[in-house]
Amino acid sequence: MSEVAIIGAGYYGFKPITDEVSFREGTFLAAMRAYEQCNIDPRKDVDSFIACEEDFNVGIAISNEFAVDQLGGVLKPVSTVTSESLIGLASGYMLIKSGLCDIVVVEAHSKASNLVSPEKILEFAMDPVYERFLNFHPNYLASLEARNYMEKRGISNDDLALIIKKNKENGLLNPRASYSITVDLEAVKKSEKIFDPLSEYDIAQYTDAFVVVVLASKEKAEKLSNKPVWIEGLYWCSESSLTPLRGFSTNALELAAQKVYDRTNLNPKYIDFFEIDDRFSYRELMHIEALKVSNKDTIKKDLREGRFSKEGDRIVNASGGYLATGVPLDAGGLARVYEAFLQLRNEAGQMQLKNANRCLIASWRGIPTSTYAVCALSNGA
Amino acid sequence: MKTNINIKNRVAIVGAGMTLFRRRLKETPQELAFEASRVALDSAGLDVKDVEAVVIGSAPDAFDGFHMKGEHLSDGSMGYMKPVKRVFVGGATGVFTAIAGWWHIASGLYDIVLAVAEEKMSNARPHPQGLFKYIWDPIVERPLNPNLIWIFAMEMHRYMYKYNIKKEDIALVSVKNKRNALDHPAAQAAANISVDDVLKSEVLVWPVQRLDISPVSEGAAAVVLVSERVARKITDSPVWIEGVGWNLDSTHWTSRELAYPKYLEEAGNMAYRMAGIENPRKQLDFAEVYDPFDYKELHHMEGLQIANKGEAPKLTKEGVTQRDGDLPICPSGGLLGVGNPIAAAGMMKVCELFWQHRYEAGKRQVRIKRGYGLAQAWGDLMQVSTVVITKT
Repeated sequence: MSEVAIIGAGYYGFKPITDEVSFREGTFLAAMRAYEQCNIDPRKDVDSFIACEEDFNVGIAISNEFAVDQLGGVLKPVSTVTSESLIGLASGYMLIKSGLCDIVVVEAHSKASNLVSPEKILEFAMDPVYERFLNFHPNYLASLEARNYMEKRGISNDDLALIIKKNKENGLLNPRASYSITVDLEAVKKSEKIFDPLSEYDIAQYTDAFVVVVLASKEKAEKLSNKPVWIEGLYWCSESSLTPLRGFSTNALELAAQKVYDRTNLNPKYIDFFEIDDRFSYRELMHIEALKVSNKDTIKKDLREGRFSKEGDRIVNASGGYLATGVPLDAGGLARVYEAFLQLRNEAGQMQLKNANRCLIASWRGIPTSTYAVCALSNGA
Repeated sequence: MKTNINIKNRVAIVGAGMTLFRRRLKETPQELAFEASRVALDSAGLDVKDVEAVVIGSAPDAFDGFHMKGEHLSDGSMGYMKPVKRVFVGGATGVFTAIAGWWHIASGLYDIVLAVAEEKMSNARPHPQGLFKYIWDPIVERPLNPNLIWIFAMEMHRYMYKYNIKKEDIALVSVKNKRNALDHPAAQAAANISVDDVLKSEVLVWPVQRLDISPVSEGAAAVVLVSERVARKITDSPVWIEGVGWNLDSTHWTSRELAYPKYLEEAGNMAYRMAGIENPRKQLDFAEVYDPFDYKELHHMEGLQIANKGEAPKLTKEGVTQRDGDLPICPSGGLLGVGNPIAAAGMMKVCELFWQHRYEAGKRQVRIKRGYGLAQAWGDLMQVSTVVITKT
């Protein structure tokens, strides 16, 4: 049995625009829901708080300053991890594993609707000497990568349409999936390529979302929750931030996944469902390969046979993934944790999968990074 | 607050390194991070291949001009194909980077972790102060167009008013630290100055004058942290991290009593409890207290309970905080003397703990009688502090 569990999770938003709340108000609402779920008072019960945010996305030069009040963390050990929120979750996990803390709160949010031109912000993540002067839209890198991957695997746009259909229609049962639709495959095929070979359908939109999760030590979890969700293992890894140095690889995700499998004595066969990054349709396939859910020789066949659908034997993104829910910037990892948390507690409503006892989550920070995190969760059954 | 004191795995510092601190350096942020990391690993006798995880600390992204600065720094910080994470608590980031490295190892997940802090401030032109325009509440504060020095001037003023402290007593800190830094090979603003020089220097925002304040700098610093198992194997003189503490107060600094840093008292108490320190004034051998302004050293000494409220200037005047005093404060020369590349400055203080404990500080060496040293940093909107306590 793991030593760290998720005992509460709350969210607000998952909408293209949340103009009714500020980022602090949205976080407050998510935090209240998470605290209520496990009946804790943040001022008395929580040992440490971790916020995951990037200054340029928040629009404040030291965003950590604004992380504290809405979580109930005033005069407490609060800090910011400027990375993917699954890596923030890893920090909370380690704080509990060290013995220092019993209860840690991890928060991440996206107010992407505040960003007039997110692609211009991403330009500042490009290397100023080798990349920035090229002045290209970040999705241009995705189009190159997609072309490269599709050529290598013999995958066509029709195959990508199957992923789009699967995820966007999975999302129809998910109240957080603002971008879910019934997909007409013919319409997808005929859609204009905006970053050839990718059309608008292939690229997930941004969303506003606020997610808060409460982590607890084994002792506290068993006391405070009837249905704790255990963190069985996690790992995160970065290759190089320079695309020219690393090429189109997911080596860092492969390594992260292997470390989690090694540490937990698991392999993909023992995982009931996967929640993985699909901000570009072809990326879901790349990530499936890196997680060893399929391999380069069988991926096309597995996709066409529907093995990654809810009826398949390797369920990927039953929540609808980013294609249906939208990309909540660095809150993506926690958003997937939230979906897994519901499934593992048998609280996913119409989305509920049968025998959902163990989930593997894989997150990516998006272009231009090569930073990935992998986390295995289980309900202990 | 009720964090536990029984930590599962002990953590030691076994290597430290830093670059020169200067107003402008030709190296890129990655090169600065690499240089500090290389020196730290060399001093530990370890190789990049030995590093299992990397923690990066750097203050606002806007300084270096990068979005997702941690990603950009990861290659230079030896993070290729490793778990890399950037942590950020404003000006307190440097010491916090070591704390984050500590929890990687204390959790039992890793044995060897590199903690690197870097800051490049000359990219921001004409002056990095301009970037602080964006740290305020966008509705309530930003329209007033405030400046960081203004609010610190308010805090300094409040501190002086509440405890009836004279400027000349505060200036003694600047004189001491800049003189201490004369013995630091990486120092940027070392000088032999007098109280009169401080009092006659240009007024920036009363009561802050030019020599009350640390310079704009860039540079990097790093430490290598290892588990007890590895430490016993690779060195005879590990420096143990005995206590860590961090604490963040409300964003609403305008409703806070500025004369006393309560958040630092909380952070200090968290670290003291873990280290088993009941009387910091008697049990610490030396402290690298955060000193971006001269009054801040005094303010922080009081928050750390090294001095009673309003009495830190008295200890300074009596020479207690001199390098040969009973409780040396900032024997390195601090930010006032060595320089203030925000996150790297905090990490420089952790490096100083390492060198002092190992008697490798050269002319800066203080006497280690009782065994404990402390490094502290401070930041955000006068709202956060981070503390590390070490022991030989």
